Parts: sequence; C-alpha cells; structure tokens
Amino acid sequence: MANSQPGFERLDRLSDPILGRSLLAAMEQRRDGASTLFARANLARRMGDLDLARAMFAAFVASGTAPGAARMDDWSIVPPGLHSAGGVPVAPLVLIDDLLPVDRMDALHAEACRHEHEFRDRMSGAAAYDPASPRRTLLFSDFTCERAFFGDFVERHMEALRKSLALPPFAVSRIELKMSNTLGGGFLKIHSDNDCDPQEEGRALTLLYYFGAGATSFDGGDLLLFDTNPREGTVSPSWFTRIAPARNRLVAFPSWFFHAVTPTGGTGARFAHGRMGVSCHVRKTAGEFAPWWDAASPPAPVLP
Amino acid sequence: MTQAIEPSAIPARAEDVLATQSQDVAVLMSMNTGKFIELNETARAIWELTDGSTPVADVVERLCEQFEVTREKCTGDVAGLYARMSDEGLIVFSD
Repeated sequence: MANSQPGFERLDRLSDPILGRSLLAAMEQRRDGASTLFARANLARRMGDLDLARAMFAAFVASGTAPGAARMDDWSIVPPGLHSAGGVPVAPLVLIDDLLPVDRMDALHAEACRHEHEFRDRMSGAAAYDPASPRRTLLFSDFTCERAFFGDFVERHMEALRKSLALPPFAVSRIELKMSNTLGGGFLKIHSDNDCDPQEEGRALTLLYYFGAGATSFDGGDLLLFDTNPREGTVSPSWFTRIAPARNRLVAFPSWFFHAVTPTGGTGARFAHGRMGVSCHVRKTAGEFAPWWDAASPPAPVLP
Repeated sequence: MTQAIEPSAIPARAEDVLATQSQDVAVLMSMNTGKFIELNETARAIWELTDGSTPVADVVERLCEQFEVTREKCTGDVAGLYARMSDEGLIVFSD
C-alpha cells in the first residue's frame, strides 16, 4: 500500500522491490568480491527479500573478510558485528518461521478476538487510537493462552538467541509480554525499546511474534529494523531491514536498535483481521554489559 | 557538505556507484551509503557526460548545444546537481 504517513514514503521508496531488483541486477555486472556480497545483502534486506539477504550474508561471512563478531547460525538473517556506512552498527536479526503448531496459533488468535474490547491504545487508554500518538496500536497485557510458552521459549533458548545476536551474558530481571493488534491505518513511528545505557536495568532483547487466522487480510504493517548507533541514539538514513509480519513468524533483535511499523491497510474496522502480534521484552538487571556495538574502535565499514 | 563547483573541475563517477533504470526513471545509488537519487532527462544527460575527463565548463557547453537553455541557467543546474551528487558520494572531483 502507499504510505501516507510522513516519513514512510521515503522509506518505501528506498525499499521499493522493483528498484531493488534493478539495482541488484546492476550489481551482478560487477566483480563478485566480499564487498559486493555485503552490498547485495544490504539491498536484499532493505527490500525485504530475507532469503536472499541471508544467503548473501552467509557468503560474506564465509568469505573470511567479515569482522570477528560476525557469525551466522540457523536463525540468523542479519549477523551481528557488522557496520554500514559511517560505521553505524548493522541491526542483527534472528527470524524463526512456523514457531507454533497451527492449531495453537489459531487458539491464540481466538483468545485475542475474545478479548477484543480489552485492547487499549497505550497513550489514551481508550479502545481507539490517540490521533496524536506516534504509536497507533492496541495493546492487551492479560492474555493467558500460550503465555507460558513464550516464557519457556525465552528461558530455553536464551543462550542461543544471545549468541545469534552476539549479546554479552546477562541476568534476566523480568519478561514483559503483551498482545497487540494494529489495524485501520495503525503504525509505529521509529523508536527503540531501550534508550538507556546498556549497564542500566532495562530491556535487552525484543522478540515479536506475528499471528492470525486464515489468509492475511491486511497489507502493510512491515517491521523496519534500522541500523543504529545506540550510544548516540542515531540511525542510518538509508540502511534497514524490512520484515513482513508473516503469520507464525518470530523475530528477535537487541532492544537498543530502532525500529518502526509501516501503516497497515485493508483491515477496515474488523478486529479479527488486524496485524496481531505478541511482543516480548526480556529485561536485564543492572551491571557490567559491554555489547559489540559499543566497542571503542568499531571495525571500518566494508567499502566496495 | 556542499562546496562551490569550479568550471575547471573534472567530475568522475565514484567507484561504488550503481546506475540503473527502474519504471522509466534513471537511478544512481551508492553501494556504500545506500542513498540514491533519481535523474530527470537533464540530469541523465549530465550523468552521461560525467566521464572523468570532461571539465564542468565543457559539460555546460555541450548541454547548451543539446537543450534550449540559457548558459546561466544551465551553469546553475549543473552546479546544483554536481553538488548534490558529491554530497551523496556519487561523484568525485579532480582538477
């Protein structure tokens, strides 16, 4: 859909798949060195072709020219430890499709629909969006269906998630869980889930799970995950990863990285057809925590 | 940062620049910064003349022959586009 919210038009143009494919084709004429692999991976992730992005990043890491922190595993789409133009840390991304058996995902959707009237705009506390809010999404915290699953998932896979994102070890202080439904033009402007010093108590790991029933009946609602300099609170003006909110998909990234949700369309006022998700924020205790993006001397960006 | 463009300066395409055509629009993108600009007909003609050996003054001269445009306007347009391309890392200058 065409995004009418200010700022999203530019991001849509940058990630336009037709333009992206044309640029990728032009890139194929060039030598196939490591820098070209990195550039192709960046173009692919920006246009939302995550299979191609993963393949290009895997080839780049395998080339041996990536910085030491860069590693790929089964869940990796964007490896940690990389920097884009200007030395901005590339947002690492984990993605798992088909997380739940379909009947359990459907049960989660049914629970959301049963509690439709308890979903609230975070800012206004009302069932309708606050028109002045930069976050137009409805939230519901007291769901029970699969709540234990998400807690257990984090506990069982914390080590693997941490390694996939190259996060230093940390003690979990609390796990926040919320259901969300973004419909009728809802969106989230660019923000981070934690803008504090990494040594302080706060959110460390953001997991987002998307669910729904039947065929997708909304368009838009893509997650844009920006290359971010968390220390300075700045983002790359041009490099990000576009992730479609496919049903039964889980994504995870460090909470300090900025992200946004493009406006949803096509849902009308039908709650059941909205862009539904579970957001899970894993909080860490205060203490020593030195993430790779805070290194005093980040490696030089890969230049073609 | 935008800088004044001298007539004797020689613009050359940056090594990491990609040029492509998408939906009837010519596009230049820096593989490093990821930024791109879209070129109209005039801008495209300027890009075609940007070969690493033609000074800015000669680019203006050839455009004045090709298009119905005053030298003053052409000089301003060329300087403006080259300044933007330079800012976006799409060209480099030598004297």
